[in-house]
Amino acid sequence: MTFVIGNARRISPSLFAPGSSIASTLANQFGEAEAGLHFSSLFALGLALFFITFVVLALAKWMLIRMEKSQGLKS
Amino acid sequence: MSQVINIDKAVFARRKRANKIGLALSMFAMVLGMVFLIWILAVLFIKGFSAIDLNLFTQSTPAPGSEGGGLANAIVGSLMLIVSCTLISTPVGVLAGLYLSEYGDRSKVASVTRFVTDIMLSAPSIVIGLFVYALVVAQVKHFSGWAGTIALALIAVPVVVRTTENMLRLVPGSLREAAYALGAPKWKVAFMITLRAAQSGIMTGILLALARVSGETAPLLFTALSNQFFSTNMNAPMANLPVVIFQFAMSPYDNWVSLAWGGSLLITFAVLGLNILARVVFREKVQG
Repeated sequence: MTFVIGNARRISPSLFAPGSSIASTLANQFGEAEAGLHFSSLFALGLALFFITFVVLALAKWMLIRMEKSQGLKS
Repeated sequence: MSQVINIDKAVFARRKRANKIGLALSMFAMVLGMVFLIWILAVLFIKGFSAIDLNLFTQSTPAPGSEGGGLANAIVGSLMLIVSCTLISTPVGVLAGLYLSEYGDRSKVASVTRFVTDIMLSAPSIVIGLFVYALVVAQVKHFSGWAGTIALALIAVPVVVRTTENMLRLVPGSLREAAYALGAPKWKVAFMITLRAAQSGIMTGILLALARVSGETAPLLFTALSNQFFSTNMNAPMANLPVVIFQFAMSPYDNWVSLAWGGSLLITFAVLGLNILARVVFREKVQG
């Protein structure tokens, strides 16, 4: 995906204009990041991405558990 | 009487129509998926096939601006990374899966392990790359093949754990009970009966994990990095196909871009082959 997203450093309102994702930013910049703020902010981006997946997955699990419970009640 | 039949007919016609619409929609979704798969394979073939020759396997990646060159160092590097990743992730994954299915079952530890495994399974691979960078690369202060191996193993282990657990659960309980009845202790039942009965299913899981891992670019970017030269030193930066493709595909040199296509073709067919092999292994178990 890093190939085609365009890697523009701005927030674009259009899906058709170049933008960037967390993963593509990390892939492009991490190798040449300077120590200090740049480095730490890239790590923070990684944490944000992980947090997003964690929340989505936890929600999915919670929904599954709820569905299983209601199934048990019906039968 | 005839009225009742008429109503039934209307319901029947409506259901038939709904069925047709449903069938058409799912066929459309299937065709859409197939079209893109075949399209990708066709483009890969057209662009990559011309790049595949003997040089691809015998020469190392070319220097900027020089002619020719191959991917020998990247192919060997990828193979070394994948083999060492398998050696790490297979025992850890299989034993963890064994614990989940035979010992942990519904206990607190087991359900927490399952949840963490699920999270690891869907964790973005680039985050795993970052983690290994902080854990290994930042500590020893240089990129290395080992760091890449660890990153790949972290991705492979959860896949192996989940498939192992599922395969062990397919083993009928009566088999375990029969072994217990003969006086076998629990560890013997787990290792010699259940594990053996699920052998080919577990092999399938390992192969699928390999297929998943061998195409990963993101976790290798900051761990194994890449290497312009032929190197089999796991303690140094190591060339590998995904990262070389990543670098070469965006490069301005024609021969680099064509090498990237050749490498992509190679890796796609390796993954395809692994997937087919996994299916063959699994089918043998079902039939035999």
